[in-house]
Amino acid sequence: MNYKISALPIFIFLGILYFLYNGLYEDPTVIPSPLIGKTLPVFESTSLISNKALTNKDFLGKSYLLNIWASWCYGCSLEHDNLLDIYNNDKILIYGLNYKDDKKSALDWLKSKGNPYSDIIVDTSGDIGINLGVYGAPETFLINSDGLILFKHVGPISTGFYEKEILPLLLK
Amino acid sequence: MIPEIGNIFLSISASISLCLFSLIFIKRYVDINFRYTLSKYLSIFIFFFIFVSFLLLSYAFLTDDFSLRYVANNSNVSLENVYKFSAVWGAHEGSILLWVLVLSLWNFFISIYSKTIPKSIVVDMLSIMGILLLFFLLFILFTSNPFDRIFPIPLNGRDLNPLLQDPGLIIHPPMLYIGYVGTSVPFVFAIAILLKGNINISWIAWLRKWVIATWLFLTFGITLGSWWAYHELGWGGWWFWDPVENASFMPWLAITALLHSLIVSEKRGIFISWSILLSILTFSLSLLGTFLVRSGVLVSVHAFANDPERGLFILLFLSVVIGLSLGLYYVKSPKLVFYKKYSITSKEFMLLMNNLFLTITTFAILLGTLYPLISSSLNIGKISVGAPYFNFIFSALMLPIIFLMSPAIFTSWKNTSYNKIQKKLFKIFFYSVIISYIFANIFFSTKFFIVNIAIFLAVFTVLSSLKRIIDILNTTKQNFIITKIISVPSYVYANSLAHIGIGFVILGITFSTYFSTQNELVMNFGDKVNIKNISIKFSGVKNIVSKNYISQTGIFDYYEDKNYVLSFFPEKRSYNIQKNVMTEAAISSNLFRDIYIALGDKLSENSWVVRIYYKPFIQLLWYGAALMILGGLFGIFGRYKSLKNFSDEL
Amino acid sequence: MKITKKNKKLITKYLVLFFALSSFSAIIIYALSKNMVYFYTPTQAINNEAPINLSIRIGGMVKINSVKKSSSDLNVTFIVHDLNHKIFVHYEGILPDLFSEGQGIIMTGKLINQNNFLATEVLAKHDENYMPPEVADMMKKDSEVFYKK
Repeated sequence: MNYKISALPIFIFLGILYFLYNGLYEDPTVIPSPLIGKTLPVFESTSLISNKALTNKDFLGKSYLLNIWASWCYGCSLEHDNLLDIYNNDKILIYGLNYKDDKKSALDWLKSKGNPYSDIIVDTSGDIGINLGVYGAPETFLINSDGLILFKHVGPISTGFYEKEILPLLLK
Repeated sequence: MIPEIGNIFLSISASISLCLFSLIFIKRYVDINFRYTLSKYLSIFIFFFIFVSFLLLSYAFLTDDFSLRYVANNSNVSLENVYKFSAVWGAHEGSILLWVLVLSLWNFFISIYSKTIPKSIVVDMLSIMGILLLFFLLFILFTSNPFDRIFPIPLNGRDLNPLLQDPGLIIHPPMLYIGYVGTSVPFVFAIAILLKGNINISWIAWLRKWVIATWLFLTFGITLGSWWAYHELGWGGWWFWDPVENASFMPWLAITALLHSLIVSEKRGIFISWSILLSILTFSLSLLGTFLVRSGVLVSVHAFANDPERGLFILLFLSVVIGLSLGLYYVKSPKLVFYKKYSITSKEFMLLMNNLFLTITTFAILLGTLYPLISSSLNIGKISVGAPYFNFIFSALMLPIIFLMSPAIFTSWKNTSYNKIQKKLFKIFFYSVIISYIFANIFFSTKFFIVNIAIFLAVFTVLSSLKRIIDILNTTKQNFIITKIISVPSYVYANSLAHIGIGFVILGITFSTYFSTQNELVMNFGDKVNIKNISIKFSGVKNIVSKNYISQTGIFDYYEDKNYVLSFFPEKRSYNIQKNVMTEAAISSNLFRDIYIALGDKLSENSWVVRIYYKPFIQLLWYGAALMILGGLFGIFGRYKSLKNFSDEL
Repeated sequence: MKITKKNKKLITKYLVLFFALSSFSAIIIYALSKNMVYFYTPTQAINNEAPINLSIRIGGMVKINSVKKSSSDLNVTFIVHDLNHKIFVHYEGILPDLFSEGQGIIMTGKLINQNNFLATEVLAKHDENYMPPEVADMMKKDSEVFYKK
């Protein structure tokens, strides 16, 4: 092996490195793999309001916000007025996931503060939340008519949340 | 509290690894004996701390500590204990901890089993291991820590992916990792040799046994993976040329080449440069595999979750390690090139061809695996390369070398007369042609010429290796068969068994690929499927409730020549927590055929979609792998000091 | 350069090497060209950016409530969509276990026209984590939240 041939491996490697590096930063809207898996997971529960059965299939057909909340959650009381504002001005449907709460406390909380939710899924054990990747409250998801999760916000939503974060995604 | 200890211990290991790595830089200031002893102690401590960390993580799983995010994501209260333990390596963070544990274990073993090589080489090897360990530990601590906590603490975990709740999961990853990580041993040896600038044949003899050991685990790990896929996935397939599978197969091809190259190096003192390059290549492929699996760069059914940030970390490490090694190779390898004469009809030449073909095949597979990346980087579009490419390339490039295996074992070193080889092989060649023809065209029938070739080559290889054992037995001086067998050098058994194993594997692959029948159809209760003289009746389906799943179990009665033989119970399981549905196939195996039955979907109360496969001789695939492993064991536990001691004819 | 015996050997060696490498390359290039399959999204199919009647791959999500299985044979139809468009898929065969509505899949087959795809192979992917990667990042950031212990 003379000098020249033993340099070949390093050049081949540099070439491979170039392609590997490029592969890391591909435009995700073109490859489906980051999108794959991000839908509202299958679940079976009841409505906090009407006690009727609810499954993930009941939430198809329209885009909506899914707000994870509980009566014990201080941050939820901070964002509540913003949610009411969205609800009262018909900006977008809001559904709630009552996370690790008990029914009486939850209903009392809504009675005293107001109810921005068109329906509320009961999740006493937190299992539905685990499947959504929820680790605490409040969290808010934007889900489209096919059940695809388009966006997630952790923490209380602030004023103008809908106009700043949600509207641009809906208009895409 | 306990997980925090786990975390701290990992940090301690990282610091000690840094110390170990620094030993290579303080050559001028500290004498070799001190550095040698220090390196040994440091290695023991690194292993100790990582091991305890690992135990603490296992403890967290076994005690359902869901305050750890990793445990919450991968375990569940109702999971059986044995799977709670194996869930430790069920996902990214835990499996990379396993990786570093195995690396520290290999490092530890090098530190104690290296008395026959110079201390300076040992210290350099351990030192380079130090930087490898340091990287992985930092990677864990900063991007993939299994000891991270979560709030609020879930009452129950998400459960282990049901696909992984199988005995195969318990052994396959650890075995594979031992093999993968073991490729670091020839790598650090190669770097140490390049740094030193010269080499001694006895050191090569030392290395070769380590390479056989790594090769063994890698072979075993890959075989287990295929065996598991065959039994678990419900499709009767055992190899899909999936990027992650390729990621384990490429190092295997490279280490097989390395193994053979080292034989020439040990015997004749040449191919040193080849061996060093192959050592670097094998470990590079192993690192590359780790990168591919965890970065989200390639779409694969095996891949861990997408994470470009982690991918970047690994990619940077990969570039530095491989780039510097290849740079070092460029500068220093010319010093390690030796020339000795050998003719075209010599073992050296045969093994040179072996090196060449295996390396090219490895690159062809690498190209196919990376092609989606290449094509999208160059903006020619999103292109994927399917299984047919790999099947074609693999057959085209490997069959010639399989053919050469037979004359190769009868050629001597330096030179052999062509007539001698011809004489040994002529009868075998003739028998092989006849036997393969009978199999391909009379017992079964095929329109593909390639099938005849493949069967011929497999039979040719098996018969040649058997003949070699017999010839050598005949030349021994003992009188009794037992003493004769014992007096044959173990490496003759090693390579003969391994090559017979390859022959069996080829037969298993060829028969089950070209001669199997696949029935995918709708069956009502009472319907029958007939294959040759076999009849399979779909008798019904019953429901069974188990700890964390509900099973719909099919009952299939198997008749041979109208006599009832046994019943199959394939299942469709619904797991309670993750709500996945898993297919458990029912398989009846013997040497001559597998019958494989799996349930598809339920169409109505008594009609189901059913898969019934008949696969002749597929067990040869597993028997062949077992023989290869047996051969490898002979290679490690042989009683000889060095290949140099044997005559050139052997 | 004189054509001595030594040179002749060297020349033969290089010629053989060159010939071998070219044949290897030829085999590899041939195999690649025969087995490359281009990948498209449903949006590209609808917009006529994907070739008709040529073997390609399409990936997307299975639309909920769209799967219709035949009660007598292995035929099944469903809808696959990305963020913006959807196409109809026809497949004859057994679907993989991980195939379900709302999950992502990748299929190989041919487009019959812009919105109909005849699939010959369907693959479903399952991530080890259900959670999107951004969430992990968000968890690391500080948020003004009170959590239940």
